[in-house]
Amino acid sequence: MISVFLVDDHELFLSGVRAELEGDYEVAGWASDVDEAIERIRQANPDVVLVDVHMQGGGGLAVVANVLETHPDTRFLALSVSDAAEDVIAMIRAGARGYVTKSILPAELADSITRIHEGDAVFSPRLAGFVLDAFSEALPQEHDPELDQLTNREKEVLRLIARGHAYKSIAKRLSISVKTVESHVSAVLRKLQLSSRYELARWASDRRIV
Amino acid sequence: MEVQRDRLALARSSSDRWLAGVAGGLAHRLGVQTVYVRATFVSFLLIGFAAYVGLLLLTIDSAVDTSEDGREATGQEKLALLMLALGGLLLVRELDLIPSFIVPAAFVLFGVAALWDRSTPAGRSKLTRLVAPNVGGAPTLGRAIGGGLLLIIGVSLLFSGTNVVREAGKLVTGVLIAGIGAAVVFGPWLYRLAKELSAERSDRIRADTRAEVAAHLHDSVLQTLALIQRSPDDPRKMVTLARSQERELRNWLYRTGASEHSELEAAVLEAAGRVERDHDVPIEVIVVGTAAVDDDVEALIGATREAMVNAAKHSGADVVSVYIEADADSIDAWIADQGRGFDPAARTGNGVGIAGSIVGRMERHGGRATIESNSEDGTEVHLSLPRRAVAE
Repeated sequence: MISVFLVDDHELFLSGVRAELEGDYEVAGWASDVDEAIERIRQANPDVVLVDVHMQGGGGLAVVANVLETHPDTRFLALSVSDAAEDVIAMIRAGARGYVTKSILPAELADSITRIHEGDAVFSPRLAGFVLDAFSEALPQEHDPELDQLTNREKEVLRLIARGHAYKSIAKRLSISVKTVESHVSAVLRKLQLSSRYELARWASDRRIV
Repeated sequence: MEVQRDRLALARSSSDRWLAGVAGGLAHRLGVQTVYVRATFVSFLLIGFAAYVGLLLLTIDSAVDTSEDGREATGQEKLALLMLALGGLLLVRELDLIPSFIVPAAFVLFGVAALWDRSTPAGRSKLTRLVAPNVGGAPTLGRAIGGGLLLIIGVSLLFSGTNVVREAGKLVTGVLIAGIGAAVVFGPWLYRLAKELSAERSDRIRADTRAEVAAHLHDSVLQTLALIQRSPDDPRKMVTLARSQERELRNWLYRTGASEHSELEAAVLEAAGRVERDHDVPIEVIVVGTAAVDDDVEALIGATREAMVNAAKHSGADVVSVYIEADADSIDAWIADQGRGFDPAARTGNGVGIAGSIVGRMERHGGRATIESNSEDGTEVHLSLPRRAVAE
């Protein structure tokens, strides 16, 4: 059974998610502030951590960055009421493998946790849209094309995600396997985390969007 | 409206102030530099002090920032100011209320004021420009000459009078003692008054902000919560209400100020919001790239709205996805649902909706529309609009 740790400073939400997950997942623990979360996650060493973005004392960013320093294999799924580009991009760049909003349906949340645990990335249509937008402009020469650009195939996959297609449907349309779709998404995630694109930060900060 | 009130009543300045802003407000009202008004107050010593306190009690506190005052006194007002000052001087002289050195001292003070003044030309009225044309940081030639002249006149007047030095010495001592006494008696009171005024002002600003937030929440969130409570048997309606409220609240919280983002995105979001409200189906909108809304883009948005309405009305899907991408060559929109689907070929004849408002509209504007639909994957409408060259 996949062990899941919950971090959220909103008690009501925390207990709601806990009730939803219990039974199908092993809830390894929960925390409602940043320092407590870092300490307990290190102790519990769960498979997947669901982490809220906006919290006192550094928020989800601090949790992800600190835990990954000592436990690099921990997988994070950001769960937030915000879907502003700056929050999404910042969490992904800090090391979260997915970002979903709190309005997500319980079944979809469970599906996301399972996929994150399997090493996959979870891209919501909105996140796919942000990435396409951020990587859309051509770059000057000195950039690393390996990391700072998306391949046409990666763009096609992201576009289909943004259009609301499931991986299975994407695989069918592009005549590739679901595994190949997953590897494209993981490649995009890696680029998002490692890319030196200076636009990425600027783009996110001057686009305070819903 | 603030400006209007400010013009009618004599108000104290909230920004241009040493004590309670009386001099600043008066200067603002009369359209002269504050420093000259202060100099006037100071040169009349105790009378000036009494006048200051009197004005402080009579005037209202102004929320208007007078620091960037562009107002200039009219000729009439300047004349009135001049006559007022002269009249005041003559009056106190007649009444023997002032020692003889007051007039020279006033000259000295105005001279010093002119030399000290470091204001910008924009905030300077014509009256003061006579004394000091084109002002920068350091005293300019005109101002130096004007100020120096006043100083010389004042000082020479001081020393030419008989017994004036001794008399002045006595008076200065007397005035000093009286001043200290006044400071001891009125100081704490004045200080407290000034403090209370500033506390009151920040309280008012806070209350205004609070009232604005309250008004907004009342019109939006509270209304929606009331509506949700009234429709407990209709979960779909509740979800739509919550969603549209969420959209609106996010707009209010995050979008204010960042106005220059895509017109296209704003227009599509607005259209989607309306369809969502009318048909109680959530619509996910994602827009990549930016575009201004011209006639062609308007047509694309119109066709997108029709496709959203069709999906919301007929597909039976829980959610409609809209993805729009604008790049240099074209703007593409995909409107997808995972509903029951239909046969596009069969519907083309009878449905004015699809033939006219989607396909026809796109073609009239040089674009095209394709519809894919089956009972398994649902329906996806693809709209494509080439972007015209800038030259055209």
